[in-house]
Amino acid sequence: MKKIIALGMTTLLLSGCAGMNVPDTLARNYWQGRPAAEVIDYFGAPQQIGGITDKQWVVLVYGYDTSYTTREALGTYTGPVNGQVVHQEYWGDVFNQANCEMRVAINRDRRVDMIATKGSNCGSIDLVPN
Amino acid sequence: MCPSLRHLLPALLLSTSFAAQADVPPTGDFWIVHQEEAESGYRHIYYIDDRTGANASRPGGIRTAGVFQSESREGGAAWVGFLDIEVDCAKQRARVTNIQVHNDWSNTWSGKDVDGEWLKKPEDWMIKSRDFVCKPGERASNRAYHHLGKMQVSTLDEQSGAIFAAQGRELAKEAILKKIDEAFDMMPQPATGGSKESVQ
Repeated sequence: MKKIIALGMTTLLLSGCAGMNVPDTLARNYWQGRPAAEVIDYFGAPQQIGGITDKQWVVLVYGYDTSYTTREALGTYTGPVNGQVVHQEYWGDVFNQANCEMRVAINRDRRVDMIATKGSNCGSIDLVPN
Repeated sequence: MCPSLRHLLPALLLSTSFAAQADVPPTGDFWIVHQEEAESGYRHIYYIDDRTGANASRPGGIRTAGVFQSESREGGAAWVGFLDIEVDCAKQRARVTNIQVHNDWSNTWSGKDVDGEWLKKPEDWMIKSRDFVCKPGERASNRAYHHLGKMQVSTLDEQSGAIFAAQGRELAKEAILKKIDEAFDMMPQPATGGSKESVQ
């Protein structure tokens, strides 16, 4: 069973399957059916608590600042330096604003039915315990 | 005759995180005897040192004990007071014979006047402390008492902070679980139809 799961995930990753959110899948596999109390123990207090009546869910909403810094080429220079023509590249840190929202749906048994993320750089969040 | 625990206070000062390191920090065998939430919203924990020799016996069946009072603070705990108490087990009464109050700003302990009278309406912490001293055989079965074990007072200081932090997390979790329950109580059952999403 473990081999099938590993192969399936590897295939999906290699094929670059569009729309597949691997962190969400891992999180869903781990959290589905677990008590709401464990979600709160791990993620802490949610920013908001909502409800979806037709699904009979109470939804815990968590917001994260997932901003990150990348090292990028900022510019180039081609010209004489000390009598020689040189080509120089300038690198610097670039700040990338990012936010990720996670929603955890709790059913009437007070257990997790679904977990999903939306936003940027959600993979930087530890969605399951190590 | 065992010296009063008040003599531990200089060493207590030296062994807390506020002050310089002591050469040999004092060690006690600590029990939690009472926990409460004060009107201020701060939580208090009361400890007794049950180390052999810490509690003395006096004529007339009177027994003594030293009670440490710790208060929850942002990011940890702080010592609030130290009280010497005397307990008359035969007559089920107790009194405070000495109070040392800690001042956070100056990091000093100062004595507070006590009348030394037997308390007619003892507070919960005093009742629990009295019973702890008088009924040692019931400690294991009394859920109010928790044996932390032998440790230095500086370690007890850190333990207090950890206990308050854990309690804070539990209280916060219970509050959220209650909100989840309330949300389900307000949510119409599927038979009423319609799709409604609301965010609190």
